[in-house]
Amino acid sequence: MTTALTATGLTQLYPGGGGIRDVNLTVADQSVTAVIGPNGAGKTVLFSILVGLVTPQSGTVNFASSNPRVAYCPDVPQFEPWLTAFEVVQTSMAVAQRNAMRCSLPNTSDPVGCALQTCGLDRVMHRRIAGFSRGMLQRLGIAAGLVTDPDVLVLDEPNSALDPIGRADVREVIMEQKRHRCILLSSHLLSEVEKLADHIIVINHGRMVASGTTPSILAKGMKPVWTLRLASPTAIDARRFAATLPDVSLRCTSDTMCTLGFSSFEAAHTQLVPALAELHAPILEVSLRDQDLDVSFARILGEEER
Amino acid sequence: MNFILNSLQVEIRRLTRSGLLAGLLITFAFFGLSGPALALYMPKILATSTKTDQVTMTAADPTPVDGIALFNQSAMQLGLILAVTVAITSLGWDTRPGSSSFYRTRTSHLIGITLPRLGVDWVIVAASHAFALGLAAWQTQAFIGPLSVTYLFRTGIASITYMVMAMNVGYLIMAITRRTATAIAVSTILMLVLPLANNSPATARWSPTALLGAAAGTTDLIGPYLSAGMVFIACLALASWVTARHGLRREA
Repeated sequence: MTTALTATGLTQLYPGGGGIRDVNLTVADQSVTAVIGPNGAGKTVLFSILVGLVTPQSGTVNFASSNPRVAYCPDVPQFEPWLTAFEVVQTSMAVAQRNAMRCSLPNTSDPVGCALQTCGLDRVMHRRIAGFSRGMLQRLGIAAGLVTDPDVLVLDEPNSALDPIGRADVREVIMEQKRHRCILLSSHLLSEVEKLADHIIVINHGRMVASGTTPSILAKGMKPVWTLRLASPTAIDARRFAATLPDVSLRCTSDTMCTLGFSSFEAAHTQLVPALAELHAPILEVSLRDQDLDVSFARILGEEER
Repeated sequence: MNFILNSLQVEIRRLTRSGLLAGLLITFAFFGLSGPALALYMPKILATSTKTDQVTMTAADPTPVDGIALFNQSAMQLGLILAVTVAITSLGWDTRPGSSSFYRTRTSHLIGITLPRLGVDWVIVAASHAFALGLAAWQTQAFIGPLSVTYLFRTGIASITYMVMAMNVGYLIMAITRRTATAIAVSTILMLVLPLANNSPATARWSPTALLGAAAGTTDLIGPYLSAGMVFIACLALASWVTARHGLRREA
């Protein structure tokens, strides 16, 4: 894993409350790192420091590149309303003093057109942005960032105002762009984060409370409980089951929905299949319970509060 | 595209598409036409509106200088406030977190954005005033009497110098406060109060506000020009320094 940026001991506190304290993080290149946390946790403050908008009270930010190109798309992108989308992206490129962009689209040599087409705004590129919806402004913010061909692309809530199709489009853009650069994003849509992120950082009350790969964050504090959906009601004898597999707890909430709980994942490794066989019922679905980021996130914050 | 050229283009687009350019031209043109007209009809207006049994007010027949002076009076009050507002709003991008971060994350040389934009505003305001002065001169010559080119040139240069200096003062206030309404309010009060400096003999010789007297025939303006130039440069330098040192407005 190549490191794109490292932050050490970042602290920025505000008199009215909020901010971050002693945050350390390492962000990998050519990957997506998601920063998640409740409202007011300090995600935007962290991003503001990383992109140079705010000087921290203490701590340092170091980029792998000696002359890093960083692009930032805030959660509420705002542009001068009398400009068209094309002019906004053109201005972005001119101010950043770039003249080229890696374009993966065929038959597109103009970087401004490429950035707009990548973000699905090619049909409205000559429309003034005063009439843009918030979702369109978010896409424009991403396009304005991409056109500068950054080493690090920071996206604050990039899909919060998008419809499901828009979210899918942005997801596709991010998955494509992570091959070329480091992407750091925040989002309250944890289902999206689960699909996009290679690494996750959890922030609460201005402090980092967890970090790791997405699978490790998902597994954090997870209990070895499986949910079963049966095709037909099981005629299982609970006493016989308990006698056969005393370390496995079986609970059925209905005729066809049951849960199997184990003492550990290691125990489940050897006992799950025998437990399923003991049910003597056709099985439609076996899934690990609470294996989604929303539950892991709540679990992590709950443990941190305790 | 070149960074500075882009800034010039963006500002021209702002002035044309937001209606500010049309507003400037129309407003100054109105002053240019109404000033000499007011001078021409002042005796009749006063005679009709102020005649009572006790009091009668009369005005002398208008002279060409009266026509230009009345134009310049309006231009350097309401027109001046409009010009200063144009300069103030050129920094409007820094009042909103989204647009502020758009520019601040892309360059550390913000002067490449701010100075070209302000330069466009100076040129547009100067051109609007010159256009209106031309209208006033044409109307005055047609209906009141001839004017010397030297007088017109002196009046125009003095007024434009003062106007551009005032724009920089408003610009500095905006750079410090990053609040449009506050900057306009403070600038308006300053522009209304500053001409009082002409009443003091100690300051009258050097105060930039003496430039406002050019239309009335004041000719000793070397001191005021120098002090206006110093204020112009000082405000510009300080505004550029303040803008560069600002971070993102958290409370916006």
